[in-house]
Amino acid sequence: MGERGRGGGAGRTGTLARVAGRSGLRVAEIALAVAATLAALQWAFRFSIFDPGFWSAFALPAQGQGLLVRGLVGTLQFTAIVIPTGLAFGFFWGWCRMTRWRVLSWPSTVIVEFLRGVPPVILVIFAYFFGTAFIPRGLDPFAGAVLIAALAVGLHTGAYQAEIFRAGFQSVPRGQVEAGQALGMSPWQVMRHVVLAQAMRLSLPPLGNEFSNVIKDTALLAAIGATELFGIGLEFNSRAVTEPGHASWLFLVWLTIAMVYFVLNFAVTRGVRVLERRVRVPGLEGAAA
Amino acid sequence: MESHEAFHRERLRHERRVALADTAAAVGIVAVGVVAASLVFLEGRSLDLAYFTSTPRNFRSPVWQLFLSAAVFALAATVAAFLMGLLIGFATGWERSLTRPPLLARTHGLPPGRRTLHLVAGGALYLLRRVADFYVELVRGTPLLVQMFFVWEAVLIAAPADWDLRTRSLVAGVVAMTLNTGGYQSEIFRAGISAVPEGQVEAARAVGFRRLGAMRHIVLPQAVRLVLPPLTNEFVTLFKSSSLLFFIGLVELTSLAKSLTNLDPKVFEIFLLTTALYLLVTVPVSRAVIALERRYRIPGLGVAASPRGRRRRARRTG
Amino acid sequence: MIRVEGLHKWFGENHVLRGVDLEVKKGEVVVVLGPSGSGKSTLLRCINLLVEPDEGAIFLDGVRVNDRRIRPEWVRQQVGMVFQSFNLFAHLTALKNVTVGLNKVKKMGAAEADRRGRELLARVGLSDKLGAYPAQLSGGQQQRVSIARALAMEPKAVLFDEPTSALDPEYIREVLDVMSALASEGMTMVVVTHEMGFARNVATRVAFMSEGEILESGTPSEFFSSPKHERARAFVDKILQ
Repeated sequence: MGERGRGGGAGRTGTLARVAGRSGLRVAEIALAVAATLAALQWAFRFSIFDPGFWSAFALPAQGQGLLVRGLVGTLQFTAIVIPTGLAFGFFWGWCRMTRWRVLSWPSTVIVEFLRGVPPVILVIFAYFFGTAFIPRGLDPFAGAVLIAALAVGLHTGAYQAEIFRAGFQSVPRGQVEAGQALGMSPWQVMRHVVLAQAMRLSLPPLGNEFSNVIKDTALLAAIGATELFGIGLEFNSRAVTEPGHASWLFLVWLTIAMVYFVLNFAVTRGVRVLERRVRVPGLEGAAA
Repeated sequence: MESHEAFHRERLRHERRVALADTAAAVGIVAVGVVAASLVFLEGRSLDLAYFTSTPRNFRSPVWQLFLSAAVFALAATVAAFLMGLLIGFATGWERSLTRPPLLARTHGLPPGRRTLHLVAGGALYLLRRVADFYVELVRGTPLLVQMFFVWEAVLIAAPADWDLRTRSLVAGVVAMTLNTGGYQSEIFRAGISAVPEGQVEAARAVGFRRLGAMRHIVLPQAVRLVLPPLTNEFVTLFKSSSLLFFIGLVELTSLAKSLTNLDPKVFEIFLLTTALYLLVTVPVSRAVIALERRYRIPGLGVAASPRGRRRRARRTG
Repeated sequence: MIRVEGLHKWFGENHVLRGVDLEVKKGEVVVVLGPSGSGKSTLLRCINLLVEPDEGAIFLDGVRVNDRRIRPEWVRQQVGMVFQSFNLFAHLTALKNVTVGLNKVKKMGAAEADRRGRELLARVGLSDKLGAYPAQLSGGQQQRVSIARALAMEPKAVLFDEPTSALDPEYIREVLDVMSALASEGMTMVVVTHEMGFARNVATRVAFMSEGEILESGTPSEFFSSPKHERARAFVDKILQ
């Protein structure tokens, strides 16, 4: 779905958000808003969120279904695959793109532009198709194909992270690199102790934004039938439609799922902000400050 | 000196040769990579270009035409959603960017009747702003897919009976995309308007503008320069999101691709055409954004002149 | 101790160094003067191999150092550098800026590096700013930390590239004082500067550089009272308005 480059997003557009500040919501306000929204929907569509039948069928593991939990676990698992993949490739491509050697920068630029210019759902679908050829024998073909599709999402986010890392590397003033060299540091030492130490701090906000995008992108894996939060919503609805009198359940499903995503997203953004605060150094603002 | 010049010229020639080799290697790697990937994905058979002019079963036009109309459809939906989202985004963004001194302080000297009026109106506006904030956080914090299906269910249930499934899906899809981009654009406008220094408004008022006039004539023109790049990026992102309409059954590029692969095992050719069409729109527009940013950059406004050329802040007292 | 012979450097078509010869004996303080663009900074950067010369040789204690077989890092540990724009590591405190070289390059233990760092910062008069970050320091303070950082590596010589040119006037004095103290302790220094007071009073030798060549060199009193080369004369006249 590609929510990058929006509002507080990667690279250049992110600087805008950093300069203008964020409009945060306090937890209490959110709780209030959620309650208000639920009440409004309850009134408008005449259903009750306290319908016990819904919860037992959907959320609770009591009936051996526990769809919601399974979906959540699936989403978290995929996130755990995608984020490290993205970090690894993003770092590598970002580093390649900023060297002066075209043999490194051109191919990585081509790869990154391709991965960013194509909707991730395409990558997922076709990774699934092509991936079947690469699954090692003995591995469950479906699981293998899903894994490959998850890796495709990882590559997609890696392309965006490449841009974030590149901007981070280049934001460290060249003079400090020289100073590191003048002290007798090897190129690798300069990279590690001068460039990375600062670039990582600067890259945290856009990376955090990217991580919350990853959580949303895992929903795309439903296109190939993977078990995650969005997919189980589809699954549940296709079953619930057949039962009469449960029209309101169709809404409740999406509402619940949306809330879970929202909480996940909230946790990630707040977590990153805490991290930012902990590594903050006076005077080391974003590249555009 | 002459031997030095000759030596230097030889050195330059050597450097040029290295640069050439570097470029050639780069191009070579890209070419080899593309060819190798193609061979692997073609799984042994050869590229079937004739497929593009063939007409698949159950369809009435050749493949390339199908793809083109699907792409146009996706583009049209994107443009519609983007423009409507622009209105929402601008209105809410502006509202959210306004900072005002606290109500009670502001209305201090007024007679009680008028004061109550101001407090009520101010309170209502404040509530509106918080609602807008929540809307934006909601839209940005949940996947577009979930938003789309929520809207879809609502439209399916609430739409007039004579609307067929396709119309309902179309309306739901575009509405969902509109709400989604509206939220993101709201954030873009809010950030852009806020980035214009408060001093500009003060200066404008000193000249004689009233607050609203200052907004219109001083702040907004500057904000436009700041919001143009992220807005263009947002358009590209929205266009890519249009691929999600496939989930609710609409025929755009992605769904076409998927249904064709079911008919003909020409997966690679389909993949090629699909990605080519998407890249045709996204890559030029993204490049244009970068060029735009460079041309319209105002040093000191919002974005630094260059990440590297920053003068160290050495002038600090103490 | 440092000897430069026949140094040539081109940047593209620009012939920046046109055969520079310079000798700096141990304990000498050589000030390089000259109009901007004459290649003074480039010369300095060639000595510690931040810039690779196209032609010519650089000798450190008799050993030719611009040689493929010698690691530039080794050379740079022997010769320190202080930059015009300080270039302190923005993410480290003053103390850590000074000790990072000791920890990572010289592989010194943390406790000992810490001790030496404190000593050096005391020497430049910044004992109370150990935990401050560069952004919290004035220009003069940053440059003094930068000098301490260079000294931490116990170099044989220190190169100064216009150390006071980026400072507000009220901070120039404190940095020059530190440099004078360093000179009187016998450190070998090569200084590019526009501070004529320093050149006159502290330098043991003055070298005049113009358009990539060292045109004249002599003691400060010789140079300032009776410069021989005509461009040197024009320069001195302009300076001593």
